[in-house]
Amino acid sequence: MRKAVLAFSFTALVTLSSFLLSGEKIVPPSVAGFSMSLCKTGHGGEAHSGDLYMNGNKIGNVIALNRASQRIKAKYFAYKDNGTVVHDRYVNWRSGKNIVLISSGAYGTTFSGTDKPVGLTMDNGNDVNLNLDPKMDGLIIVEAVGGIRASNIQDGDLTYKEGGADKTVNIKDYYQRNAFLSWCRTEKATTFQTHLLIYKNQLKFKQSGGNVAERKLLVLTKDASGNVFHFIIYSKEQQFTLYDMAYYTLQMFTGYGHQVIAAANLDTGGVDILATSTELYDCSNGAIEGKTNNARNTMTNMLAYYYE
Amino acid sequence: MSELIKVTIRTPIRLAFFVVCSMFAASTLCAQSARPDNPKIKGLSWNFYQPVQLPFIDSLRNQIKGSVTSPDEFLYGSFSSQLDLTPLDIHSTDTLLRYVMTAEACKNARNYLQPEQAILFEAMGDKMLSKLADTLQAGIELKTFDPTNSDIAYLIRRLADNHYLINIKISNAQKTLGYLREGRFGYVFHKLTTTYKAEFMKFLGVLTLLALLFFFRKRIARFIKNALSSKK
Repeated sequence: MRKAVLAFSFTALVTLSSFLLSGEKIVPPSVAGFSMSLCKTGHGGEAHSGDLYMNGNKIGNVIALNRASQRIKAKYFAYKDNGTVVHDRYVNWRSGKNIVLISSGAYGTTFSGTDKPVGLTMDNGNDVNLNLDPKMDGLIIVEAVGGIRASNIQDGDLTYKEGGADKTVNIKDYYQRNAFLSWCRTEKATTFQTHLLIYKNQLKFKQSGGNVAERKLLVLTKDASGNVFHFIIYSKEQQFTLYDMAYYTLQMFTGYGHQVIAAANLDTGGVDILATSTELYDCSNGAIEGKTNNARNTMTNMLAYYYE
Repeated sequence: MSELIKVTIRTPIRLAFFVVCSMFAASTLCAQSARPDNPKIKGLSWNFYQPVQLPFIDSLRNQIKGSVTSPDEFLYGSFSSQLDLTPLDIHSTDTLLRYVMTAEACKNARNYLQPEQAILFEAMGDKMLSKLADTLQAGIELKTFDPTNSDIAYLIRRLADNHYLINIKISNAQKTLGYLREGRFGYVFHKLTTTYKAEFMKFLGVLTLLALLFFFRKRIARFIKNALSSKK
C-alpha cells in the first residue's frame, strides 16, 4: 500500500512538473494570424490539402475544394436511418464513388447511445428533428446536386428554388418554416443547424471568451473571380476559443483575397472524425486524421465530399 | 387610447387580427376584415384539445378568400396568436395528452392532403409541439421539471416520436463517465491535458498533497508531537 501511494505521488509530481515546464500553448489573438500551405493536389486538380500555420508554426490541416466545375460534391448524413448507423449508411453509399473526404458534422443532443442531432434537421427529405434551436443561428442546406448553402436564421431570408423561382422565407415563422420543410421533403433535401461563426464576411460574435478546444470549421468562400470554394480548417494541434478561430480564419481568407460566404463549426468533441483520400495528405506526406477516427461507429452525423 | 387598447385586445381573436393587420398594415381589405363587427370573423376561436376539422377550415378559407392575399397564412396567424396567449397546463397529463393528440392530427394532414393544402395544418401542429418541447426544455433547464419523472419522460418520448428532440444538457462528469465506460481512456486523458488542463492540474495538485500527507502522516505526527513537547 505504502509503495503504491509513493509510486502514485511520484508519478503525479512528475506529470505536474512536466505540465508546468511545458508552458502555455494558447497564443493570444493579438500576436499573429493563420496562414496555410496547400502542397497536395488531387481529384482532377480540384481538391488541395496541406498545413495550417499559426505564426509560422504548423497547428493543423487545411483541405480546399474548388466548386467551380461542380464536380466535387457534398453529401450529408444527418442521422442514422432505420437503425443503420451513420457510418454504415456511408459505407453502403460510397460504393463506386471517388471519396474526397469525410468529417464529423454538427453537434448531438446527448451523449453516445441516445445521440441525436441538435436543432432543425432533415435528412434526404426525412424528418429527423423539427425542433428549431434558437441558440444556433446557422442553417445549412446540403443540396442534392452537391452544393452547400448557409443561411443566417436571424436574418429571416432563407432562399431556395421552388418551381424554377427563388422563394424567400423566414423560418422563425412556423407557417413559412413548414412551407420550407414541405419543399425539403419533396426535393429530398438535407438540412441542419449549427453555429454560424462568420457570415457575409463578418464575424458573428459580439465578444471573445469561452472554452478553448481543437476546432474544425467548414468555410465557404468566393475568390475574386467569383469561384466558390469549400474549405475544412482544422486546428488539431492547437486549441482556440470559437471567437479566436473565427477571427483568424476570416483574417486569413481576407488576406488571400477570398470573401467568406459563411463559416460553420463542426464537432470536435467526443466525435472528431476527419479522413481524406490518399491523394490528399499533409505537406509531410502524413495522413490527415481527426482525434477519434477509430470511433467512427459513434458518429451522429457525417459530412462527405466526393468527386464525379 | 387605453380604451382603444382594451377594445382591441378584448378577445384573443381580435388580438390575432390586430397582429396580422400590423403585419399587413397597407392592406385595406385586411383592415376591413379586422373590424370586430365583421361577421366573417366573429366568434372564431381555436380549440387546442380537439382536432381541427377540415370542413371547418375549408369554410373559413372560402369566407375570407376575397379579403386576404393568403387565407391559410391569415388563419395560421389567428391560430398562432391565440396559442401564444394560452398557457400550457403542464401538470395535467390527461390535458397534455389531448393537446399532443390534437397536434399529431394536424401534423398528419400531409398524409392525406396535397402539400400546399397541408401546410396550414402542419404549421399548427408544429407550433403546438414546439411550444410543448420548449416548455419542457425550459422547465428541465430551470430544474422545475424532472426528466426522469415518468409523466415527463413519457412526454419527452412522445415528442421524440414526432421528431421533436429536447436537448437535455449533460454535465462534463457524466460525459467523462460515459467515455470511460466505452473504454476511451486516451480521449479522456487528451481532454484532461488540453481543454480541462487547468482544472486537472488543480485536482492533481490536491490529490498529490493528500497522498503525501497520507504517506508521511506518521512523520508529520511525530514532528508535531516533538514540536509541541519541545515548546513545553
